Amino acid sequence: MSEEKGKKRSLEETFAEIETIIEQMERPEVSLDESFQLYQRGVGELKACNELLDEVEKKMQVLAADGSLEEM
Amino acid sequence: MMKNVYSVGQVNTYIKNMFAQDFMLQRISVKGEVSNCKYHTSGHIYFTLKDSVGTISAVMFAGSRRGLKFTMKEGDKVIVTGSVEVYERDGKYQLYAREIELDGAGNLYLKFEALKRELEEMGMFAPEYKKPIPKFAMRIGIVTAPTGAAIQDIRNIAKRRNPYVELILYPALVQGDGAVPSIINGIRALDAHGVDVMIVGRGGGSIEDLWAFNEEEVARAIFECETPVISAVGHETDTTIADYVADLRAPTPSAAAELAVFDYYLVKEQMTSMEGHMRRLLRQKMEAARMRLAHAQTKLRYLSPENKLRENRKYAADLEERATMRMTQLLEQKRHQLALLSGQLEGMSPVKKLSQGYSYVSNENGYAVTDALHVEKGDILDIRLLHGALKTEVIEVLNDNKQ
Repeated sequence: MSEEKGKKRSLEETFAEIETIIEQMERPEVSLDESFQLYQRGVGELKACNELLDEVEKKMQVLAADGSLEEM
Repeated sequence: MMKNVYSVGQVNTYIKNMFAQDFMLQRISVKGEVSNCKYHTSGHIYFTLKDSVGTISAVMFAGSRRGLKFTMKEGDKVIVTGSVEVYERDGKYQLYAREIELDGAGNLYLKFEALKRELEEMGMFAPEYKKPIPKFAMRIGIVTAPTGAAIQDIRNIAKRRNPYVELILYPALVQGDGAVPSIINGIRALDAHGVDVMIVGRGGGSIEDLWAFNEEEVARAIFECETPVISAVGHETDTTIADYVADLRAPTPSAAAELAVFDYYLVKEQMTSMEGHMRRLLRQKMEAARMRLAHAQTKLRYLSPENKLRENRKYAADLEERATMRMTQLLEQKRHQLALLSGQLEGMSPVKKLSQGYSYVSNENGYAVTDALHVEKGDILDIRLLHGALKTEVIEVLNDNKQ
């Protein structure tokens, strides 16, 4: 929905979203159908978390006075 | 005239006593600049105090070391309090220090306290200005020396906790001339470059080594920085102005790295556990739904017309069986009764009586004759025997009463 516009959500926000989904799933009055939808959304959010973790090993960089970056 | 001649020892002792009797020399504070400062292995400190006019030898014995609260070095402007006494062996007087303090403008401690008070009054340490440290920083700026232990420690800890975060170092001078502008430039450059959190600091050192982090300009740069700043100066026990103004104080650079770099493996674990939790909740929901379905099915089956019909049919079959059984029972009873009666009947059969010599007598009309009064002489009577019968004529009638 609002994910496209505005800046990318942070890992923290995504985690908060998952927590909310779990809380909703824990409610006894939630229907099976809703549970399925919530679960699907939760799995989607976890996938987004994984993407945010960006598992590419980073080299330390050095910021020069002119603003240029250089690997250390 | 005889001249009085004294030994060296006598003279020195005489002078020593003169000094000792002088009230002022027993407790005197002398200010000057430290030179030739030597920390002896015995714990004594030997130094010379000088000013533009002259010098005086000084010593602080190991036993008085409590009177010195900082590491004294060449060029320090100090105020030494103690006594001036004569050392007889060398024939010299020197200052025996009991207390040494940094003097005025040179007193870093006083400077520190004054600036701390000033900035605090301005509200620069106020908690409401503290920015929260992001829990999941992906880009971490570091302002420190490129060659010190601090950057190595930060690097190692970052690599261990999360090799996927980006570390951007601004190599700064952290001590000596030029340290203050260098640190300030680093903070501003990283702030402009854009990082999630910034570590500003250096490894341990003397109070002079760490001094750049006690300068007002550095404090202001940290305060004005848009990015949350974690200060990490020296060791646990060193607290600088930078620590007070930073959004978070880390006791050491290593600790700063722990605070800034989130633990990747822990987060992964949390994610796995969250997924497991969601899956469990869904399964529970499904099981509950399945159970409700089974319950409804049982109820429906119980209430269905087919069930009613089957029940009625069974009831009818039951009744039929009970009726058949009752009939059979009754029949058996009757048959038994019949057998009993026929036995009794047989016992009363006249034929049986005839076999014992009795006979059945009937008149011509076929009626049984039981009383002589109904018979006349000459009547024809039939006598039935066991085998065969006799037709007889009555010769005489004998009456019971007449006899």
